[in-house]
Amino acid sequence: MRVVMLGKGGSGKSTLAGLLCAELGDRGERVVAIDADSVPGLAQVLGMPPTDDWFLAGMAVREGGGWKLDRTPAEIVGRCAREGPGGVRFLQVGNADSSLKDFEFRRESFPGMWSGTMAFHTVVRIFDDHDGWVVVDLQGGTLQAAGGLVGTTGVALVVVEPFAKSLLTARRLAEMGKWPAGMQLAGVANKVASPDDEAYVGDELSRLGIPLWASIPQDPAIRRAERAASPVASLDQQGPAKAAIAGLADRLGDLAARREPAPSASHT
Amino acid sequence: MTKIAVAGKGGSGKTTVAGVLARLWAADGHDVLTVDADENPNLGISLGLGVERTHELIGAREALLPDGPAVASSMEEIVDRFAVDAGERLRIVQVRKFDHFRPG
Repeated sequence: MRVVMLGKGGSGKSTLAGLLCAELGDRGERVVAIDADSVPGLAQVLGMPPTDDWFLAGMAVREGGGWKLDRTPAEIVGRCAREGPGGVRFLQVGNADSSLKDFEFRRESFPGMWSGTMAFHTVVRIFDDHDGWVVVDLQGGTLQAAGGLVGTTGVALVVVEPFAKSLLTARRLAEMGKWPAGMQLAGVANKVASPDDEAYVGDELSRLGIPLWASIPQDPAIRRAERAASPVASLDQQGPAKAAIAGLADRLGDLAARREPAPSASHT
Repeated sequence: MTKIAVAGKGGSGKTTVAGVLARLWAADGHDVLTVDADENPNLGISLGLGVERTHELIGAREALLPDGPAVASSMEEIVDRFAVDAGERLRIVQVRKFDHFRPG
């Protein structure tokens, strides 16, 4: 099952992606975490060194005027992913390194593949049918979704803060056009400080036809964890945020169980 | 003319800071043109236009040339055609937004 994180910049996509991956990993699920944000932050959440997108080097072959990845998801994960908390396999495919030298190297070595967006496009596509969980952290806003780059199956989690700007982004996503039939849109209210906050997000999303699947409280444990080197490792395991993330994982697990084939080989 | 650019991480408050600065300067008697160059534009909300009018703002770039590079004879032309009043001495131009599927 593929889960892509959507929403306004700063709504908490990366933090929730990292926490969700760790939760699934702790349950014995096989998880690949992909950071496809051009301003990547998932590595930091997982407490891992930021890798760059050059795991693609040597795996791409020329096709027509462009490049194509000549590897299966399993090969890419096996060769390039780094192991993080809960056994999560982590890949970063956005534009990681901003050093000019590296940028020039990429552009000269792999024209057409140097851009994070292209790498993202290719990688996300080939992970469409990957066995297990694939959690993709996207760029804030609507650009990648509008480009049709988020794939055709799985769940798109729209992360929403209880503010008008955040909900306007959700509205743009919901009203973007006809979403692929295999893609379930679901809302996650984040930084929820009161029942009012949750009701506001729930009502607004319901008007957009997006069901609210989880409400993540404004847990001081998350703020503290965000300042630490590894938010995932630092999160209070007894706090309300942890419980809400577990609820979200349950919800995703229910959907995965209803879909064929079984999306994950869990170690039960 | 003084130009101010506001930059930072997503969600850090760029739009809010830009909107409040613009309103304060306009209230002080300056003519202020705001440009929302974010691909997921929200500045209208911070200027007080409200969600609906912000949602309806047209992206100047798409309006000029839907499928190619934006071409206009001058900045004045863009402002004349696309700037919307957001209060006294306060206008907004929205550059672009991605609000419908456009695969490829």
